[in-house]
Amino acid sequence: MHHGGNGDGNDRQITKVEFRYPLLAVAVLAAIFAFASFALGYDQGQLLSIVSGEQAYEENFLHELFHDTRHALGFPCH
Amino acid sequence: MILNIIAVALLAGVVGGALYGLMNLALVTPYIDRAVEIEASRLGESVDIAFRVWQKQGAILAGLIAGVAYSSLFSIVYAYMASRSSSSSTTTRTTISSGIILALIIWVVLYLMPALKYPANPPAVGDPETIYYRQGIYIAYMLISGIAALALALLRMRLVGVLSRNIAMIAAYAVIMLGAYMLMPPNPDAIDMAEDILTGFRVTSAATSLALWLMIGFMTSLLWSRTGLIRRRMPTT
Repeated sequence: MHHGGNGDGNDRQITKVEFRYPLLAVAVLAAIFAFASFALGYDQGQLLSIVSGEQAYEENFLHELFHDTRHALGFPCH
Repeated sequence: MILNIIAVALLAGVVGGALYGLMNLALVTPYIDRAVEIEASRLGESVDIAFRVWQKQGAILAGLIAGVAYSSLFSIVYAYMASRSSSSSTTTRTTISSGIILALIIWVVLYLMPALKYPANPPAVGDPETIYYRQGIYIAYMLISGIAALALALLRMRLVGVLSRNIAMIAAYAVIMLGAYMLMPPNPDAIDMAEDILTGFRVTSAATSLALWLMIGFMTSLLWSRTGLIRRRMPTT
């Protein structure tokens, strides 16, 4: 079992905790979340069109690859 | 510290996502296969087996990406909760139960609420012509639910009285979501699919997504506890 703090008597006097919201970590996680969920849930060829142009919209590679999971996650699909 | 938080989020996401991918293959894919067969027979074609095998392999990769994406979101909220908590009870058990409760709340807000208005559909149901419109109303509904829940959770910290503020918060959220349910436009597509496939698909989709969030919640809070992230925030006198 983990005990919070060093002395039981002193803990009660301190109400502020020494943990700041880790903004840098949050920014990195937010970027991962945004990119991964776009690719997984919404992409209809946009991401790969950056490298292969119009053809990406016809192949719709990511959409097809993530197809089953996109359905399973509840996102709209073709 | 920063790297620990990111590493925990990624680890919980990869493990939860891999299990999620396997669960989808076992539970959801059989319904998708049947719907794909119906779709093909309507078009007078036969199912491209090799293509389906490839898509099923994609389900594992997609599971991992879903796990990492959702775990990142979970850690963002969880870290905020930890930074604001003034409780000094940080046993492994209370840490994990708070993680699981948060995961359950996020599933209700981001999966269940949108699903009540726009239920998940198997292949062969959607009209390709309306995909951008359907994606738009779905994400809008998710945003309404997510922002309402977030705003109320932030507001809750300013109120006093644990029970009354919880009841007030849930009531306010319910009112907002009822309004959204009535005001948002319906899914424009006709749902033409055998009832048992539709129901089975929706139930298994809800179950595996719930399992994904719970696995992420469990592992993130366990890892926060074990790596000392939770203890590190305790006052050092």
